[in-house]
Amino acid sequence: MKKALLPLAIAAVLPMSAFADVTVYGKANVSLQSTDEGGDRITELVSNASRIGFKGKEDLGNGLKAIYKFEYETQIDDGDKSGQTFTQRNIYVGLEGGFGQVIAGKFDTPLKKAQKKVDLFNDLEGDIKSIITKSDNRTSNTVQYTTPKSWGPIQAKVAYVASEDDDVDNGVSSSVAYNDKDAGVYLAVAYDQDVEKEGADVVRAVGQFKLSSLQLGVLWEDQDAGTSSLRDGDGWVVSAKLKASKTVALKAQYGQSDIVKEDGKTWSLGMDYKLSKKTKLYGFYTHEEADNLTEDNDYAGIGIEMKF
Amino acid sequence: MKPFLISSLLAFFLAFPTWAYAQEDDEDCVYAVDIEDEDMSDYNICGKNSGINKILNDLMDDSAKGSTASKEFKENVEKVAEVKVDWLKSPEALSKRRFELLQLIARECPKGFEVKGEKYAVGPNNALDLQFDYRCN
Repeated sequence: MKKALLPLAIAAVLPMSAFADVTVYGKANVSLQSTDEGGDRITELVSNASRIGFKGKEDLGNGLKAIYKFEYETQIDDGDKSGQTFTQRNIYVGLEGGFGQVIAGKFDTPLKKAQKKVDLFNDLEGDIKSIITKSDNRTSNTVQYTTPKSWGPIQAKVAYVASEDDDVDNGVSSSVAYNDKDAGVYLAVAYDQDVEKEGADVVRAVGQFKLSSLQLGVLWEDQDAGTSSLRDGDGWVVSAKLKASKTVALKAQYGQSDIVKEDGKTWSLGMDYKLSKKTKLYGFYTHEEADNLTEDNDYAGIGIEMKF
Repeated sequence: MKPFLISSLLAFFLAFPTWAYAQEDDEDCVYAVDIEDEDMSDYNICGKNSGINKILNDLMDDSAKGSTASKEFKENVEKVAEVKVDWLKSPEALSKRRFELLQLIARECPKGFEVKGEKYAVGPNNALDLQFDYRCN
């Protein structure tokens, strides 16, 4: 049996009572797009981080809860990602109570999570990890503490990433965020040390603002390569999303960065059309350029996303 | 190809009638897939909205909480019937529960049955919980 199928097989034979409270969830997202990379144009069907997962919690009494999540990416287009049908996304187990939350496993770092929803083309070709940043990481062997909800709009996270190698420094990712949902203001600053690569430090600052039907976002990042093989550089991205009607949202995003490629630039335009609370159609166009690209990259596509 | 895709996209969205979708965004209703990790312990019930989740949670309610009758096989021959809702605190409740259990067994054993034994658990203030060991004819 393929390794990736094993978790589902286990879940299928466990009695229902083994799960105190389980939710099956996921997202199906596929787009048909025209891809022009380096002057070669193809038409392709792309599965954009489609996923299925199980999550749940158990009340242990005295305000203490056990929580867990098992999430896997699946390729809707061709069922194959590096030879695997299912690949691991966030998987963890932990405890939550008045003291806060502690989880352990493999999951997104605090610096990655700090971006909130600034990246309006997340999981698509215009995702900021293409040109803007190398620090959207999902790290293994990680233990993370999050401050309790009693802190109100302030939330801090710190994650310890074990290298499991005595010749490699362990990594630390941390973030502090201020999130006032009523005022529509989100501010965050995050810091990674020895996470993307040993010796490299990354600082990220994020702002997201909601003004009626308009959402504005800004992200800035600085990467100090230190002793690592990464590039020294910084990058930024600005985004805007306008709810033109109950069904239609217009999106635009622009960014520049030296972190991934020399003098990288990217811009994207998009439109979402809501068919229901769960399902939307969308379209996008993304342009990328950089000094080491002989030809610019262009992507245009239409897609569908369904959440459950 | 690219101009065709962009024009098709614009034409589609401009032509699609807006009355096809009527619901307002509910900012409090976050789908399970979008729930943040720090909200894992108290996410809104509307996130669990799939038919699969309803079936799963109904099954778990039956097996873990016992609000309806549950049965177990013992030694492939004898069965145990129990209805567990509240502790039995009066003769009337005990009598009613005894009858309910016998009715459940009767549904399982249309050709008749034999009660091999009665078992009682004792709860707070000497309240009782009853189960039968039985065998179908």
